[in-house]
Amino acid sequence: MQLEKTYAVFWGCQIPARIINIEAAARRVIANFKINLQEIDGASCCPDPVVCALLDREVWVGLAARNIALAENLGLDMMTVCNGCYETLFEANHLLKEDEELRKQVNEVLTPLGKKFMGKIEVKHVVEVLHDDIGIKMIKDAASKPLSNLNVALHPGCHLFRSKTPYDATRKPEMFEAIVRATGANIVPYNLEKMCCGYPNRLASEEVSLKEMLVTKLEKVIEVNADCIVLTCPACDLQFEYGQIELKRKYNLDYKVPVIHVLELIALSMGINHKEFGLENHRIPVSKILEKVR
Amino acid sequence: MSSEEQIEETLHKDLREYIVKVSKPRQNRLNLMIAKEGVQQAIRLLVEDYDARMATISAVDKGLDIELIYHMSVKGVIINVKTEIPKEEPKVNTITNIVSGANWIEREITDLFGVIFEGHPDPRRLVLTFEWPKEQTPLKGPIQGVVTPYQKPTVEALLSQGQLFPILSVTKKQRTELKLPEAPPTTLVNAEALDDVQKVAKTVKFDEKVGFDWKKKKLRYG
Repeated sequence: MQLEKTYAVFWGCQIPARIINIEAAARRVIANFKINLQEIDGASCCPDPVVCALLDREVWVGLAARNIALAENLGLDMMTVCNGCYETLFEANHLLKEDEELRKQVNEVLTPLGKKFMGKIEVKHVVEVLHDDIGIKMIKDAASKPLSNLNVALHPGCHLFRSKTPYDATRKPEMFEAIVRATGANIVPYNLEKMCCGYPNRLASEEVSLKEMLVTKLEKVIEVNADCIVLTCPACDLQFEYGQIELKRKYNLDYKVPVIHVLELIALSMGINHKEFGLENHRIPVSKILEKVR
Repeated sequence: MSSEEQIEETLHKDLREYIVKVSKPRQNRLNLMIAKEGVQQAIRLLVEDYDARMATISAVDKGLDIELIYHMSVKGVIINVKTEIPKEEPKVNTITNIVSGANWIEREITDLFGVIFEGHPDPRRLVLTFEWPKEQTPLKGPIQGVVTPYQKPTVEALLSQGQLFPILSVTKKQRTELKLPEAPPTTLVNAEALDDVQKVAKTVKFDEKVGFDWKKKKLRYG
């Protein structure tokens, strides 16, 4: 295997603090494909693309530019593992490269801190790195334990549709699908793949988020007999997992659909022991998945 | 130099430490935003040096603060001296000792907005009855800002720690078990980086916009 590339990795807030199994799986999978991950010293929240971006555009783009500038100083393209961070950093990077006046304003804020946005790097989602740098063939070749007994429902997450042009919006969700296929898992369509999990709506109305949105998706996933949901976003992960717990606690609605991140799925297909990356840390038991991948 | 420009120059010179912003919305009109500590000095300067006449004082509930506007007239030029009084501690010095006509206006503002004019010679009720409950101020609403309750945790975490979630000791232990570093090198473990983030927020005045109390590391409301 010849591949040797280094990315400045942006973990975001949720993964290192709340879903460490995704980080553990990411580190093992990516290293296996000879891609190095360089930590970004001093990174902050991306910042959040829903609350912060809507509340104040200036602070949102300023802090995003600071994070990108840190990666630029390392001379590395940035890789995000979180869809929300991808939305913010990709969007800010694109805006700042295109808009000279905005770039000037932001650099006036960053200069006293000894930092500067130069517009020299790309921001990539881990799905792009897996698909474009590593490649489907290599993921397939590395799948020493193809997951052919596992039926999965895909949930790409809204932010994965973020692109420079509307014509390009389905590129990454299609990559995600190809990656899942390369693990040997069977994708079962349920027709609501593009529907939001309800996580952002939770901030406005928890009841609508859980009973209207999450339940609608879960019912469809159960209807097609999927063993689990595969996703790419930590916020969606929390919504599916904590959401199911809250549905039981608050509304006595009993769902136990396991949820797994695409990086965990690849790790399983590569024969990496699930204990090595803490698969059992998921709030919804993953025993159904483990039975099918033995 | 017009009289307006002359006054502006003097105000800048004498009130430099208190001035927040000066703007000229149109001819013969000057808006001067100053810290509340500078109100007496500003009014004294305008009255004693420029023979200003005070028309009235307006009070406006701005959500987080009460804005007081002292409408001063100097030879056809209207100067609005504005200051913001935090609702948590609604106190400002009286100007009755400089403009005796401010006496009843300040009493009315105290009744309706709860602003205490310190040093007022006769702070009795004026427009409300004497039995009116002291804590009820008819024209002052509860303290509120632009951040809704559901946005609050995100804003407070971002400004106080630079990240939305802390890494708890139990998580650190789990991370070590999975052979992960105890924590990634983010603002949670890098004080200098957190300082940078807070400076960005202050430079773009995000902290003022959302009403963040840096001492308490919390929003002033909600």
